[in-house]
Amino acid sequence: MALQVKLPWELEEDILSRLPPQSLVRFRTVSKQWNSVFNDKTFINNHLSRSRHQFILLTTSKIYSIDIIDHINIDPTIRLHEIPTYDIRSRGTDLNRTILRTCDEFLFYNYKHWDNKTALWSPWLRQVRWIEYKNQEFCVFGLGYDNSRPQKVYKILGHMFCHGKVLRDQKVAIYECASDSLRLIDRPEDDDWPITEAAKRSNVSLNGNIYWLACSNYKTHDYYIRIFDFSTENFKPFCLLPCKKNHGIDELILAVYKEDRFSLLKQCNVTREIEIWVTKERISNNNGNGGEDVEWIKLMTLSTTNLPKLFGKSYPNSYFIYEKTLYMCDGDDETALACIYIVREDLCKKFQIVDIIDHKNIDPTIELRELPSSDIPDRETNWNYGTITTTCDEFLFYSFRFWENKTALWNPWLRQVRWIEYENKEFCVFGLGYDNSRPQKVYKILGYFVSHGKVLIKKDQRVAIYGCESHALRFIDTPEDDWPITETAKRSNVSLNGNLYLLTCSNFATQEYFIRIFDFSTENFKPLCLLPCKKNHEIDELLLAVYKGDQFSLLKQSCVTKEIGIWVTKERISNNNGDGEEGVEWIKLMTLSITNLAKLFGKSYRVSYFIYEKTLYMCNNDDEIGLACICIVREDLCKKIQIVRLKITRIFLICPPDKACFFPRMVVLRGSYFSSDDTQSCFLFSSP
Amino acid sequence: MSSNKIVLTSSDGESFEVEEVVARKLQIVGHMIEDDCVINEIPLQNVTGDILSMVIEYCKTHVDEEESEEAQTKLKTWDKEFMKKFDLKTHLKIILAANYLNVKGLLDLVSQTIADNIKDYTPEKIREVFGVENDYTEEEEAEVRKENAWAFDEADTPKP
Repeated sequence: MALQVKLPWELEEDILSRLPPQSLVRFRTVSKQWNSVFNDKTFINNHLSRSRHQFILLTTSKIYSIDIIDHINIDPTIRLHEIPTYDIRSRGTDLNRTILRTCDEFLFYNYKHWDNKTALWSPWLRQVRWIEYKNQEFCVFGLGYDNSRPQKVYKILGHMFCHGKVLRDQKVAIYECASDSLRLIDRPEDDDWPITEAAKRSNVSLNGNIYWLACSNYKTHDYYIRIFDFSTENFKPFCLLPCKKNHGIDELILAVYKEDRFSLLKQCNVTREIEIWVTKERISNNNGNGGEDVEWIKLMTLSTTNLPKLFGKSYPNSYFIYEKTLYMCDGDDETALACIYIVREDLCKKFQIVDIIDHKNIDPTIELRELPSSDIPDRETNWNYGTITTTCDEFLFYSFRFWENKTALWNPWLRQVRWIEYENKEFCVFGLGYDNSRPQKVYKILGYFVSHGKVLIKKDQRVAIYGCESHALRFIDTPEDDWPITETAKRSNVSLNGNLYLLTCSNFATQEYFIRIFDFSTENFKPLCLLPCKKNHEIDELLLAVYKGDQFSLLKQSCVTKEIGIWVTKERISNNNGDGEEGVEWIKLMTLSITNLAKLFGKSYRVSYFIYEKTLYMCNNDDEIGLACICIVREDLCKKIQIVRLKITRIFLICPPDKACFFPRMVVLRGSYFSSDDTQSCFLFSSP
Repeated sequence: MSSNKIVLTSSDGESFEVEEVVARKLQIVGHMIEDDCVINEIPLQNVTGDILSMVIEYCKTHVDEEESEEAQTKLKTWDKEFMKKFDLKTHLKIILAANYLNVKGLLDLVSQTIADNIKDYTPEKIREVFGVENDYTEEEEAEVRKENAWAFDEADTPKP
């Protein structure tokens, strides 16, 4: 008997069609024949039709797919894959302004910025089709195909959005993928606009058609399912729902169940109880004609205590039902980090999914990645003279001080650099922000001018704002005898919700400090609040940081005992807090007093830290050997993880902008202490 | 209820006496019965005794497939455990047998099991397991690999 079991091609193909997309892509390199399946329409359709539950997660800079493996187990394996976006990024787009929709394995990519771009995109097949029209935008509603025909010929339903026209005058259109053509179709006769925001949020693709929840009576919260049938190309009512909302905020989510049926999830906004209904029979196009013949049965009621909140979210939630178990992907109510929830009648399990492993683990994985600095070197970058001065969102400021002075606003991830240079004078950057009262983020830089040859007295320095969009600089007034941009301020500034916050000393004798804000909407400095503690000694360290995305944390270390106290604000911080001093309430989160705490005071750079789940994460140089390390401190232990052969000259923390699903990362700037052959460079930590 | 017995004989001469309902799960046998060319003994040329016994075990368990949710779950769990007993090489033999004997449920089950097991393999390992000849030139392979580099992350980095 031969050692090798050689399968006929049709069996190999069948196995291939069951693989997750990532594996399939990897196996393209096995042989030419294995690669050729990607060009085989029948195979692709076969692969697409195999039901595979996968969550797609969009963060501000990346797209992930999440696979749940081994469903039957209550402790399944959860796999996170990053989906490469270079196919769409080649058009210079930015995920912050992106909407994704999915159907089969296609994603719709919708970019809304200057010009609007829509693409039908399959990251696994690496195919992108851009759908663009001059002066008008095709807004995608959903993808489908005529299921009465043997071949799947995809069509896209959407509407034309003409600028300046009201919704009533918008036209519904169908885009034919095969012929790359667009044609307008009639709207339903009852003349209401079918593609409402609620429809966009709730639409589900099944067997080639699109289904969504439509409201028949806003007062009584009656909803029904509407269908767009791609074989007849018209809108019609499909069936009634088995329940209605008791309250407008209750959440109703439609999903596909067992490949060919519907499930409906309802969550009550008061009790958070979740009810799940499913249709008894499979769904076909014809059900709609009566509306009566769709029969619903109640599958289960989930009322365990720790259910997440699904209502009132800015994004539609995704879920699926498998074997009387509910699988959901949602941001955690408190931390806003992405989680998978697995709920059965008797239990609710939550799995955190972040870029990096398990945070509760005291032995986390620390990834060190070098940030390419090739965007700067044409300016003869030398990290001994040039330095990163501050960060905001994902921008870094690079400032080069040697013969001539140069400053750049730099995003190493998007590979964008903007140089800010003036003759005979230098613009010193203090921080980046934006007017948060406006819908769009328009970045502005706060800084001041130093003129050469002039003595450095405060009178000769002027505070200025640089508008990133207009590339223009203008001076602003500051209090006369109170220079706000002190060394303390430079060391302590924190960017939150578009504004800059800094520590300022109100009384040097008693070492009292307060938080000052530079509000980018009103463009002035004002006091925000007092600190919950003061320094006992001048050398004590006070470090301000962002906590849970929108609150502050304050770390104080005593220079005598090395004890660390951490306070956090009780509520989120907004622009208005400053008006009354009482507005900000601090609570003490923890006191850390174990023996081997690192020394944070008296450093030439500012130590960066963040708090997560009552744990302190810091990055600093080791007190004894002077090499960079990550310290993880809890009430009962302090763990130090050495980062090999690296000495910090500066560190920055990159906080997730607008509470996205990212864990903070630390950026470390390395000095020139090691082998001189190495190019000087920046490093990025994904931590912990 | 027919309790008619049928004897199935493997290529290496092993014989199994099973009830007709079980034998009918093998569609190749089912067709023979319908075509009335059945005697009581059926020789199966392309399958060895050890594999045939596994196929029969599957068919016996699936002989009356109940609609109820509970029964379905129970069967699925059994399927999983059943598959766990064998290694990949045996899975490959079972899929060949299921294909030849035309047992649809088993074919789906084992095909999915193989897919689940191999999904993290490297292309090199795949070639070895499936006996696929690499028909790329070195340059071509490097090119295809480069284009799809992102899919390699996990497979290539050994876990600590």
